[in-house]
This record gives sequence, C-alpha cells and structure tokens, in this order.
Amino acid sequence: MKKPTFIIFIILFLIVTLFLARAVVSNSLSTTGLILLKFESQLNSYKIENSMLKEKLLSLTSLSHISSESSQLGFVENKNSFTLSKPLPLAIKQ
Amino acid sequence: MIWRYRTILLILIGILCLIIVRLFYWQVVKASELSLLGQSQYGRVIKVLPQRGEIKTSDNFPIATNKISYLVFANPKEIKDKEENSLLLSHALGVDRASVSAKLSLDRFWVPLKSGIDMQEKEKISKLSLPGVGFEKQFIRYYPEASMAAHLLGFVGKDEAGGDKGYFGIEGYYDRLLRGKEEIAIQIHDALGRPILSRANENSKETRGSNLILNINRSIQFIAEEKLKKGIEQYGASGGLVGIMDPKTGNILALSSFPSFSPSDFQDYTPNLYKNPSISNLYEPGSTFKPLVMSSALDSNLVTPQTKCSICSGPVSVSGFDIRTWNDKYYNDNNMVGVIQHSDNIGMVFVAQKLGIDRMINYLSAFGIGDLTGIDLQGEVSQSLAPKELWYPVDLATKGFGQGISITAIELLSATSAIANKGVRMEPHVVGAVEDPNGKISKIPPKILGKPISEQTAKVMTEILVNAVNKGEASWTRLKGYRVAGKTGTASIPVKGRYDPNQTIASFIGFAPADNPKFAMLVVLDRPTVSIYGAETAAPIFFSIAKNLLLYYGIAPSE
Repeated sequence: MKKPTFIIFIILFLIVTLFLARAVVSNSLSTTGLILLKFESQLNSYKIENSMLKEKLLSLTSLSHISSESSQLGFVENKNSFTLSKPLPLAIKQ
Repeated sequence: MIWRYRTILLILIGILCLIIVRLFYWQVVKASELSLLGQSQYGRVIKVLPQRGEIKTSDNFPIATNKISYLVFANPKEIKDKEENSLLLSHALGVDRASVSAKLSLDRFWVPLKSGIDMQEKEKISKLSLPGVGFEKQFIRYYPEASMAAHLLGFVGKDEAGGDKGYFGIEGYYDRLLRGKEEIAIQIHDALGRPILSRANENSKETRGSNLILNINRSIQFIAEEKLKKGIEQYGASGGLVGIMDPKTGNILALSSFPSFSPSDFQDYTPNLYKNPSISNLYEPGSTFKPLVMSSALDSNLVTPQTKCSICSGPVSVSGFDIRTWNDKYYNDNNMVGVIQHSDNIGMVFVAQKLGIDRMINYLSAFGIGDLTGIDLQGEVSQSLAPKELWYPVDLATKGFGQGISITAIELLSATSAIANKGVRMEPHVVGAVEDPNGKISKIPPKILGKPISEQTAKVMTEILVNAVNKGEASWTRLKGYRVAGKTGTASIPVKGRYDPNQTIASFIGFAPADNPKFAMLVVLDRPTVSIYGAETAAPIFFSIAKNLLLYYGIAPSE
C-alpha cells in the first residue's frame, strides 16, 4: 500500500497554520480589554472635562454674571432713548 | 457472535440516548438559568445613570442643566485605622468628625459619606489614597442663573426610593418628561476582570430625559426680577410679583416673585417659599378687577362709555353696608370713562347692579375667574365663584370693584389679556416646545380658551384703559409718547373678617402698545409701607419694566 504522503503533509501544514493563526488572534484579543479600558477612561475624562467647561461657559454667559461684570466696568443703564419719528430728509438733485 | 455485536450496539445507542436527554435538559430546560449564571461569571451589571432633561429659555440657554458630581462612599470593613481615616476624611469633606467616625464603625460593606462633591474635592480626596474609600458619579441640577425664576422652575429633590423627583413649578409639572429612564447595561470582562467588550447600552439616548424649551424670555425675566427686587426694597413691601404674558399666544414671557429661594439649596429655605405666589396665592384684586366688570357691562350693551352714573354723587348703602370711594371724593354724573379713570367704587356698584348676578357670573366665568387657567406649572389653585343662591346684593356691589372675591395673579393676567387680544382668551403657557432625546422638537401650539367679549368691546375697553393711564392716578409715572392701557389697584387685606386699612396689596395691570400689544403685565406688591397705593408703588415698577420692554422690542413712541 502506497503511503499518502501528500495528504499527511497537507494535514500537518493545516495544523501548524491554524495553530499559528490561533496564537496570533489570541494574542491580539488578550490585549483588547486593556486598550478598551484605556479608551473608556480617556473618553470618560474628556466627558468630565467637557462638562466642567460647559458649566464654566454657562456661568460666564449668565445674565447675572454679565450684569455684575458690566457694572464693575462702569457700564450704566441707558435712561434715554432716541427715536426717529419723521422720515429722514432726502437731498433731491434739482 | 451476532448477538454480542447487537448487545454492544444497543448499549451504545442507550448511552447515546442518555447523553441526548441530558443535553436537552441543560440546553433547553435549564437554558435561561445557565445563561444568567454565565453572565454573572463573565459580565458585570452596571446601572446606567439617567440624565435629567434640561430646561432652556426661549434663547436656548439652559436655565436648569446637569453637572457631574460625586458621592464619596467607604467600605468600613476595608478600613483598619478608623480613627485616623475619619479625621482625614472629615477634614477633606468638611463634615463633622463624629459623623464620619460613626459611619465607619458600622458593620457594613458600603456607607455613603457625602454626596454632591465636585471634581476638585474628588481629586483632593483621591490624593489621600485612603483604602476602602471610593466615588460614585452622579448628576445634580445646576442653575447657571442661580435663583433666577426659582418659583417658575421648582426644584429637584428625592422620592421615597431615593431617586430624583421634581417638585413645584416646571420640575414638578413636567417631572415624567424630564426624568430619564434608569437602564442596566452588562459589561463583559475577562478572567482578570478587564473589560473585553463595550457596554451595549451605555450611550443609549433612551436613558436621557426630554429637554423643555420655555416661552420665558431670559432678558425679560432678568429685567422683571431686577426691577421688582428694587421696587420691593424702595417701597418697603414684604413681597411682590410680576407676570408678563404675550396676550396673542398666551406665552408666559416672565414670571417672577419675591421672597424667593435658591433651587440648588432649597433645603436651606422654609417650605412656605417653595410655592409660586403667582399661581398658588389667592388675593383680592381690588380695582384691577374693574376692567373685567366694566367690559362685561359694555359687551352686554347695558352701558356705553358715555353712560352717566346716576348714583355717583355720594356714598351708597347696599343692604345696610355703606360703600364709599377710595379717597372719599365723588363725581356727580360721572360717565363710564371717568369711573375707570377715577377708580370710582360707586360707579362700579352702578355697573355691577346694571349687570345683575346672572350676567356677572356668566361673564366672570367666561373670563376664567373661579377656574384654573391651565398653566403648565405645578401648584395652581383657584377659588370657585359662589353659586348664584349665595350672592347677596352687597356681594354683587363689592365684587364690582374687586372686593369679596379671591383670585390668583395668573387668573387676572390671563383674563385681562383677553381685552388686549381682541376679546380672545388664550391659555397661559410656560413651555413652548419639548425636545426629545433624539433631538426631535415638538412645539406646543397656542390654545384658545374662549371669547368672553367681542372685538369691538375689547377696543372700547382698551381706549378707556389708555385714558385711565393718561389721566388717572398713575399718570405721573406713565411713559410719554406710548399708548399704554392699564389700571391701578389698591386692595385692603381682610384680617379676621375686617379690612385692615393700613395694609394693602398694591397692584397695576396693563398692556402695551395698546393698539397692537406685545405684552400684558401685572405687578403686585404685598403690603408696601412707603405708600399703600398701587398708583404710587406698583405703577412705577410697571412703567419702569414696560419702558425696558418697549426698548427691547424696538417699539418707537407713537404719539
């Protein structure tokens, strides 16, 4: 009976290839958790920073803040208003 | 030999069947139980914190939003040197040492130490590297405009289960829309506890509450609050309120009252202050009620502006009660324009008697008096009108000039806005639109509540009110050049069945510009001491705010 060398070779090749592939995939997967954890904590810190910046922005743009700042800078309420009740005179070329 | 093969075959088939039965048991019968067991081994259940919806003013500025804060907790079983740790924690948290020490000595795995600490405080405590001390992220309400519109907003407290719940104002009325939905997410981790898959639901928008976009104009609210605060101080009043409404839509542009509270520290204030006086306090409106009675009589064609008052030459007696004018001055043959201009109580008795009880009840009901206005705020009250059988002649006479009837400020503002809006009464509304978590905006359309008087009557009444502003008691403070319709009010306060002559509720109601009103406004001062009269206290505040509003809207003088 003739030895099926070719088939044995193919099987061995497949075993080795699959073994290596599994090792590579497992290796890459094992570190995914750590990367994810890093990303999540990074994302979290950005979210917190955003929230703090938003809080600061809202506080600075609040009317109570603007009002107190403007009075400190010497702005005063305009008591008199000026309105144009008649149409502006037009210069007509004679 | 064959029977041996067959026996072995049967045994093998039997074993195979047993395996199939067992597999069926694990895979089908016990499937869900095993799945949960598996999840608990590779996954961790995480509570996703819901974010409460924001409350924004009409310029899209969040007047109530959320900020991140932290709850500091400890596991007493992990803390060995409790004395030293409680000292360090009490210093860092600003809490009494005995209280921290008592919590750390409890036989528990988790004790809360302090909630609501900010990022800086958290960093400070983290640097101490105390064993068994941890932080839990929370969202708390943040009010960028501090106590502005506090009564309108209400506040967020806790419910029986310790969750967030809105109380009073918008937070109370729209609590179900604002509160987010608490969700649970599972985070899958490896054997060492490191996450290997993202949380499936963490960023789900479904957990967030809807945002509310108010009709409240932030600038107008600010102006109203500043002027009211100043007015209360200037006239020595114990409190006051301002309500501003767009009569054409019913949109509430500003609603302010003092004394007030800070929604972020509501627990530091007496609970009496939580109620919004504009919708929860009943008061006798006094002369500000006269335009409603007068317009009812005009609409019924029982009087015209030229009708002479035949009983105005002196005090009148109704069912044995003497009725006088507020200043004891009497105008013989006063017509209806003069009755409103001089705020003549006898003239209003004349009008009320002409109107009669049936018509009076019908018209007041059509103006919404005695009913809830339907404003979208928690805590609105109303006092129903007495049934016809309980109206005595003196009740008809006194109600004619706003005494012996209790209403809320919003009731009066809503009713008077009908005169400003061609006789059409709109439902007062604070929220203009709802923005769902996906950003879809649903507008709340204006709602017509009825038409108590005709357009023609509204026009005539407006002219009478413009005349009252130009020639009445408050004419000294009016805005020159503008046509403003308005009426003063000075109502005595009933105390133990009698009216206190020294304590009044001073008010002014009006709208401007009279021919095409942009706003209707009511100013009420509670017990002013510098002067008891509305014309000398509430009216100047009204015109001061009105001047700013006309400038804000860019409306030029018309005269």
